[in-house]
Amino acid sequence: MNTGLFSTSCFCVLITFISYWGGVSLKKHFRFALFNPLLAAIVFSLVLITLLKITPSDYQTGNETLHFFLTPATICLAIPLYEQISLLRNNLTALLIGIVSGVITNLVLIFLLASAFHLSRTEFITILPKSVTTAIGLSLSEELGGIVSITVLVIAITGVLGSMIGESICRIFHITEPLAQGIGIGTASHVIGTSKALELNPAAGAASSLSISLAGIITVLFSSFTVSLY
Amino acid sequence: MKYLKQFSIILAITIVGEYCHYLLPFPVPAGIYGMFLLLILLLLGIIKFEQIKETSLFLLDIMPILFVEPAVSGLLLNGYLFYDLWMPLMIIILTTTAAVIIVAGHTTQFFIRHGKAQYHLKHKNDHMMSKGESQK
Repeated sequence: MNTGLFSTSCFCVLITFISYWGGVSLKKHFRFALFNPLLAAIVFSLVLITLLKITPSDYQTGNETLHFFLTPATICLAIPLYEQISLLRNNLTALLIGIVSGVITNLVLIFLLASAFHLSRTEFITILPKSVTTAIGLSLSEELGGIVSITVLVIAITGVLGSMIGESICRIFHITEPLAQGIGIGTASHVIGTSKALELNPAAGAASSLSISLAGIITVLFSSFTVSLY
Repeated sequence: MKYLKQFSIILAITIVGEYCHYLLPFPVPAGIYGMFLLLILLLLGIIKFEQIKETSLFLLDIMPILFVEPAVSGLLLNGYLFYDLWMPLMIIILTTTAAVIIVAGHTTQFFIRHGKAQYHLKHKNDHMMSKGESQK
């Protein structure tokens, strides 16, 4: 019986909207820094899907309409870049050094922690692209021989986590320059972090947009070398 | 008609981005090609910001909502692959994400301030000469 109304595309999109809206209004009510509307939306969606007995594949197909907007929306990240272009240009060296330092930290730490947890080579490759945007990470994992579906999940978790803790970490560790906040959040947590950085400050959003693409490309360049060492 | 025109421009760039992704051998997604293409077109003045303003701001605004479904589907469909590994994976994700924000953020901040200090040192004399003239 449940496969009728509840599995239609409109209904699945509505679940996503209501979940996100619920997350945003909860955020307004109690202003706890770690509370993240995106994470709340994910939890609400999971609950609703389970309660209404919608199958995961129906939910996925139902939301294809929304998925369609992802590439056009990513392209629109050119807007913050364009609006802040002179600020970015004036600080380009600092931004580039920041992104490279972030990528190297990421790869070295994953390498060390993966060795510490005795992860297999496949598992190591699977989590290596965790900080790059899904489309880059997916092909990177595939090319080096990781488990693509876990890579996608790890990338999503990293993004949500970055948008959750980004603001607090910047505050605790005295990262006050908006550009530096953007580079940190963008290099660590790609597009999902960037959508958060855009809310913080236009300059942070622009720096974060820049770091999605550059961090992704630099990670690709360094990855095969890192894997050869593991 | 305004929105129709604006969305058509963005879709046209999306198509070019997808074509680049298809043609070029790099693992760069269509969105990144498109982003740089749009940036170049805006900087060259071929596309004016006003021509895509409302639609692009709308897309940027709804962007976080677009990440809900992939995360939920990922958890539901592939979450089981995660079971044996979830402890080490969560520790790795948490530590590295925090560390990257701190290192990348602080490095950038250091060099921004360093650059500013050098700039001020270099232009100190000019500033002193034209005091009052170029004050904001």
